[in-house]
Amino acid sequence: MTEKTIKLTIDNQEVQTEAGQTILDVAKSLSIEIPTLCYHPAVPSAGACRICVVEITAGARGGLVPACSYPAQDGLEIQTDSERVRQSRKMTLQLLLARSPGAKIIREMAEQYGCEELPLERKDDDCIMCGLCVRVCQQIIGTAAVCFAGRGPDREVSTPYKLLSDVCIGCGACAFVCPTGAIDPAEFCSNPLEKIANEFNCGIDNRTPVHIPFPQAVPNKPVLDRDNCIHFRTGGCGVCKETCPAGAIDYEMEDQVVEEDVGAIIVATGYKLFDTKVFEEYGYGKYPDVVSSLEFERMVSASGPTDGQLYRPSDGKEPKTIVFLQCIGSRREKGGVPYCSKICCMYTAKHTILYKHKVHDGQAFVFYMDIRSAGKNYEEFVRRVLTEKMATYLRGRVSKVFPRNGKLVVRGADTLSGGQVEISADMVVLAPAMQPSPGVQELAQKLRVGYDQHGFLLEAHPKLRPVETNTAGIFLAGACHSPQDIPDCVAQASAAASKALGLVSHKQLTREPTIGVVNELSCNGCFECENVCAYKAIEHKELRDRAGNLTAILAHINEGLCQGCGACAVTCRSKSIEVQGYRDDQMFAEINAIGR
Amino acid sequence: MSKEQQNKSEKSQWQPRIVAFLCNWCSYAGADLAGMSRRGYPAAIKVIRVPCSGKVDPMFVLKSFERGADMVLVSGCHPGDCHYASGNYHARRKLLAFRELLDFLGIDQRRFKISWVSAAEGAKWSSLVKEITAEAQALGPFETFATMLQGEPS
Repeated sequence: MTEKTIKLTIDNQEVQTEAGQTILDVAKSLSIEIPTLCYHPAVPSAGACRICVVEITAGARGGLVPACSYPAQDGLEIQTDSERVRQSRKMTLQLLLARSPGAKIIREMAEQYGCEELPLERKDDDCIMCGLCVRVCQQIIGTAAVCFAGRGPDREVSTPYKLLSDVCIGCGACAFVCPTGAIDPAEFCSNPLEKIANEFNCGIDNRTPVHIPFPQAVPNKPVLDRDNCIHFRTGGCGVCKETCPAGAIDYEMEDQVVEEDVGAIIVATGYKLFDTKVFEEYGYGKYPDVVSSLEFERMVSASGPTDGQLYRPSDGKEPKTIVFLQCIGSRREKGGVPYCSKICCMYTAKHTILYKHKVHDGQAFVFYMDIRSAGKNYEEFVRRVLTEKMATYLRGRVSKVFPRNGKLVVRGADTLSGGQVEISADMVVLAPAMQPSPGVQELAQKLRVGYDQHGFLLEAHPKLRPVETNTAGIFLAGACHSPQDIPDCVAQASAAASKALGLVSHKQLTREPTIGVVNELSCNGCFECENVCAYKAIEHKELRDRAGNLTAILAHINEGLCQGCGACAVTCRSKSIEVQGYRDDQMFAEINAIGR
Repeated sequence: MSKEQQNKSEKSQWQPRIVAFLCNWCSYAGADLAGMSRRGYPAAIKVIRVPCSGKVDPMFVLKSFERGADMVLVSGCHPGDCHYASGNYHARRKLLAFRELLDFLGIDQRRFKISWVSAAEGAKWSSLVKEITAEAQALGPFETFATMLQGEPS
């Protein structure tokens, strides 16, 4: 046994451990829970709140000590939940309760220890004076923007002279560690951190610079947003690095360009929504209660920013009348896109069901052009919405959305009844057209894949080769190819994956037979062909005589690299390169056949 | 029917012969799409498939004229979209320079067309063919080479 190893007993469990730890550390390693308030692993303990008291029954001078700061010593015997400990914690909590009756954690703990309210003057201050924020700000952030001020009953946590602080970097570490949630940096910081819109929730709520991009992210791990991180902006903070038990935070890490040789590429760049702000008549971006269907989707999602509670963005009230507008930008030759976005009919029908599920007495209206419900069980689904009166479907277009008396008036045509309709709605949901992701055209040019005028990538054949492209080894999946719903995307992605596997599972690679061949008798080695070859397929071939002397360097075409474009054949001045299948004599024979 | 009338009706029935060199990946696929979409275009055009517009040798064009074409079209992928990275750029440089030399050979430059039609542009292909067929019709038969070759053993 080395000198540094000690032996102690906690709650009658004997444990052997290294010296230099606190009782709390050792208890934690034994999974013995000791309640704490002012303790945080990132900063040295202060023993301020006295909630973590434990009783030493043998091995040292007996009594109650704070577990967070009392060192573990050889031969100690400790009880963490004895009657004396419980009594002490109860008294502490009763005093804290009188001071901070509004703090949720204090109320919960007080209930747990059976505290009754003492006949003391209530202070109604959530701050329990534990000083954790002060320690974190001084010792981790290194700014000391908050400190204790005043004496006795006037003691409080504040900035120096209670002025707005320009020392504070607005990192919010104090608010993060505060056990009772009593701190808001925006109250005293002259430079508070701007709110960062949560991209996944369409900016409905905010996120921190360290965040998990979205709930099903793969890998499901947090990322650090360098542009918004306080550490990268000011050099301070660093709380995440201090507190991460796995030591996974590395500020020195740089973005890397990783190069991989691959046999197949599957393009699955997805889609973006049409910018509906360009249609001013619908008022998206102008009236907060006009939202896109994706925003609506997040609002009604149980894992979304509102926990599935549907409310109007403007005033937080439940929308009793809601109007869905389909084909916003779709099937619109002028100003929009001419194609049908395919998915909107079905998700709008789903949204009306979700809406009814959330707001039982609510009324939903849908303006549509045609209900396109082609797909397995799709028509039945829409039929259910119609027959069960989930929504009133109106066939026609909306001409204008405008506010009146706190509501949005939707004015449109009902072509089936042949009249104008005006609906006073609480909320309007637009179904924007689907478009290919931005930047997909540059990607397509890089990959040598064709695309149409809308930017959707082209398949090799619309019927017979729907997931392949004209460039061997490149496959398409999902909305980069055309607007499609989830079942279609999954089917296409599975097809693309099996096509790619089929390609790489062979021991030998199949190539087109139509590649260039050099006539070595006439090639004079000028290597003009090398200049025009986009594939670096032209090699230098050395010809030697019997004695091994170099007689000529001629062009040679690498059969694996050549794609058979024929640029070299046209460039060759001595006509020494021919493309198999497109030889000059074959081409001239074709031309002759066409001639008279 | 007088001889003059007969001549006139013959002339209206005269169909130009247009030889088109289409790259395999864009223009040929575009022409294919025109067919698949049931878009009609004049039968005056005779299509020869080449792997890339960069494969079109100026000699192919001259040979076509020699063999009686009234117009020659070379069509490839849009600049930037070449399946072979840069083949259509080579074609563009080479064929535009070549077009300048046509006058010297006694060929009206208007009889030689270059266009870019992508695989998605079936409609563009159909209207392009209609357009150039009408133009070829207006230009009339190309007889320079035939006259030059008259009397020579073929």
